[in-house]
Amino acid sequence: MFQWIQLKPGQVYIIPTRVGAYFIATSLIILLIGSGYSNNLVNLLAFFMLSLVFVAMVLTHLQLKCLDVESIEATPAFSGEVQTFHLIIRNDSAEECAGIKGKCILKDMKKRSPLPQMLDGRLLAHHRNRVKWVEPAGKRGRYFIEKIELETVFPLGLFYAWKIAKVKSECWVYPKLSGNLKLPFPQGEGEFVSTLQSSHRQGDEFHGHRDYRAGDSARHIDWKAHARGRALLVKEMDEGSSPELFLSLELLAQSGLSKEDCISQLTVWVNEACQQELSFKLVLPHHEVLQGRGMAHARRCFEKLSCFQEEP
Amino acid sequence: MSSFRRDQTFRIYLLALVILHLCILIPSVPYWTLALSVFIVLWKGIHWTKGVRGPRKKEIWILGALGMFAIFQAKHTFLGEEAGAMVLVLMAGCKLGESENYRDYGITLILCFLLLSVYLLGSQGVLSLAFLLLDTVLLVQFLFILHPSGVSAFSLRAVLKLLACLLPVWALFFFVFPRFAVGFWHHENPRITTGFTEQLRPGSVGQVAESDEIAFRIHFESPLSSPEKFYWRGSVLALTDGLNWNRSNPSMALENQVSKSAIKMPYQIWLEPQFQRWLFTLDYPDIDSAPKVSGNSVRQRAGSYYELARPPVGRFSYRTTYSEESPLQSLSNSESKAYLQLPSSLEQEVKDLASELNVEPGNAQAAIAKMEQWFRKQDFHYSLNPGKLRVKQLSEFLFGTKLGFCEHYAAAGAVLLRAMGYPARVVIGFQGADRNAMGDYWMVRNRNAHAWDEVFVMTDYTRQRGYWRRVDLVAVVTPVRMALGAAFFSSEASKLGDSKGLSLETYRSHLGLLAKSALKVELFLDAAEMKWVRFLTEYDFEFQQNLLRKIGFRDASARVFLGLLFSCIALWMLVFTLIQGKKAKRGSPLLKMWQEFAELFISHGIMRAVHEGPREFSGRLKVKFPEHAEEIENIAASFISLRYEEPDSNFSNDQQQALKNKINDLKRSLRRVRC
Repeated sequence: MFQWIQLKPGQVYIIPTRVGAYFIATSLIILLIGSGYSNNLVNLLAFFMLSLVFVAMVLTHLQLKCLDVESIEATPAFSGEVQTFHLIIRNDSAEECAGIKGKCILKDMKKRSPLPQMLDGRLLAHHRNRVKWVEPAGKRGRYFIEKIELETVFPLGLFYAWKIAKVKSECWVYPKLSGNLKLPFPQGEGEFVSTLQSSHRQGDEFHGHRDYRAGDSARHIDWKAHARGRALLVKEMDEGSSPELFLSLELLAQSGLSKEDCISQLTVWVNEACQQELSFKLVLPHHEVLQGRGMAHARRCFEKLSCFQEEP
Repeated sequence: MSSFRRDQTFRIYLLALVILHLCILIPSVPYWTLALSVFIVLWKGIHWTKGVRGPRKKEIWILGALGMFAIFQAKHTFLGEEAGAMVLVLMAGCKLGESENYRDYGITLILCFLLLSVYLLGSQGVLSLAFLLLDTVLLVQFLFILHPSGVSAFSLRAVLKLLACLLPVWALFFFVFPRFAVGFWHHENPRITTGFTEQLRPGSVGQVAESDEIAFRIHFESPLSSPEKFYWRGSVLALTDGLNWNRSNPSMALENQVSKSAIKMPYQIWLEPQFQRWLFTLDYPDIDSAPKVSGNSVRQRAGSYYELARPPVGRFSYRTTYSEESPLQSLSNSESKAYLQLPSSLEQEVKDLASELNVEPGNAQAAIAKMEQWFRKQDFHYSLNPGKLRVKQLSEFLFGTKLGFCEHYAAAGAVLLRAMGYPARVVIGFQGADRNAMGDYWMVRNRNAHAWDEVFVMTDYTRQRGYWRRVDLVAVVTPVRMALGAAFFSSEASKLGDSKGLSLETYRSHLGLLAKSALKVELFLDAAEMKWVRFLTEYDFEFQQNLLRKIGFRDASARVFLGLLFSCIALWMLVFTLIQGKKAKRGSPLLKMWQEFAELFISHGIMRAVHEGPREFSGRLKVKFPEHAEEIENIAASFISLRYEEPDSNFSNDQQQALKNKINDLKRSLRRVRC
């Protein structure tokens, strides 16, 4: 799931870099030399260096001033796989911004420890620039992208400017896809009823979105979401049919697997059931029973599994 | 970890930059310091280019320590102008030798700035200004490519763009930052051009005259006579032992001028760096308008010459006036005694000669004429290198070699006149000047260095009054030296011989085409130098205060200047930011094009609503203009694709042009429809 974000421009902070501090100190020393010897040419050099400091400060500040973080989304990924982040930065200035670095600070709800991510890029003028990067997905869970920090020392490396944009975006890391057990069909092991139906569910109740696939009817595309800048999404309606599969953590735990292995196995089953378009019910201790079919239902199940913690 | 440039081009650029900044200090720093630094730099360069083992940190430290030890041995300090320059040179080489990361390169760059400041301390000419401007481009380019993200490339355009932004602030700083009224340091060993010593001895003036460098420049505010009459008084010497002369006692009373000339002509002098404290003034200086030097006080000395209270700092200028007539003054007994002093070991033959020449005792004019006649008749010659004299120097010169430079003639003349009983003294300074019509000023070179005599001619014996009359025996022996001035020593002049009728114009007319062109170029460059020197030396705190008072500030203190400076800079920053903001608000070129497209249909009664998206609007247009439906669809599709579907697409110039062309084509079609 990704969330649409509209942010106001943040404050730009600026301090000299180490080289910048040395540069400023040197310019003052040269000014002292020029004044001491009453030498206008040495004064001219000192003034050049001081003007360079002022101009560099203004230019570095302007690099970030016109940048806005428009949206940040993280594609959900299974633990151990690669997670993709998409950041859209709008550059409202008439100049291209170069040398922009950034950090995406994630905040784990339970651990509360930031996970810094790095990006590097050149941002075109009057443009919404998409910056994409991948990171290995860590431990399962629901993370929040707390803030985006943009920083730069461009153009001369004399000043370091940074800007913080506070965001509220989720980042899901689903449990690891590992487990060898076959789906627990009620009619016996290995048998399953193929319910090949059209990829689109005809029903009254809105069930959720899934990504557009070639061949989907244009009537079922959520155009409003697209106009808001999101990718092409197809609306799914709930069929409300009775579950074919019963996936229970407690039952699975009886087979001797550890809790994490059980969760991973359940994840595999949910994934397979979704791919085979089977209807299934997921039961987790102390959690509501989830039943349904399709991608949206599978997503809800993954989310529950990601966040599942044994209640004491 | 920050990334930084490691590629070969960057390294070679850095090497070249450091070597350039070491080379400009060749005249200022001992060769061995430069050699050590350059050795380390080249070693590093070979390591980078050829891959051989480079200098290790330990090795750099050892070389650096040895260098510092040698500097201390030579200078006994690490502070001061010359020792400081040597330390900086060594540091620059060592720092580059151990440079491995961004921080090291940054510090090397900063050392280059310091080396540049040392160079500018010793050299303030136009060429130095030109080098400063060029060097700023090179150093800023280096800052660009040193950038940690490594996104900047060599781009002269980007550098010049940055310098254009910087120029207003630079100018503000230069013109508004308050100068110190007094320079609190002075040059230990400046690259001086004027090198008179405190005493006259055989060879001392000749040493100065070996250099062709300019000693000072003069601008006269009224038309004047021929340069043959230009005698620039530096110092007056009264104590002698024969050919050696020293200054009189500093506490000696100043002359008592009885009458002064009504005609006083003003002029201004720009003096090149010198180590002695005298100020050169044109005979005969007007004591009522003593020169004033900003940041220093001027004292008048007996002999009507002027001296600075503190050693001079670099170039400076002063104004004063002169009159062509020697003022009438009275001579006190002590002055008379001082100016009649003779060496204790004066040779008898010299005394005899003096008696012989003093045909009318008490008549100084007759004695002078007789002495000049004697020198004219004897086979005396004028030479920059007359050779050394033995023990009895004066009689050897007068009766033996008869070959000498101006110091010989001046010393001999003064001794002879004193021996005759007439108060006399030696004046050292310069004679002559070359005019530079391109800048409307005159130039006096070190080659114009000269020494001559002054004898007191009594006009009123009762009241001991008279005037000091100039006696120049060189003018008698070699008149062409007076006409040609510094050009006398050139090879072209020597070819023309010692012709009495030779003048500067004649000399110049005999110059070859190449020599004439070289002379013209030299005069042009010097005129440019003069303009720059005038600006540089005159722009001091006093000048700034006057400027500020002219625009209405009563209080022109340093605080006011600083307040004004920072207000102007804050204003510049605001204006610059607003301009950048305005540029940004002009909006995306893509949106502008869409707006232009929408405006095509206003005259046809179709206006785009604010809420109307591109698909909706283009749909309406296709209904209204079915014959242009395809074109409208193309334009709308291009716009949607560029604006919404590919946020990271590069709206390149080609795409921009293609869309513009489509809109223009549609515009033409619609116009045809209307017609």
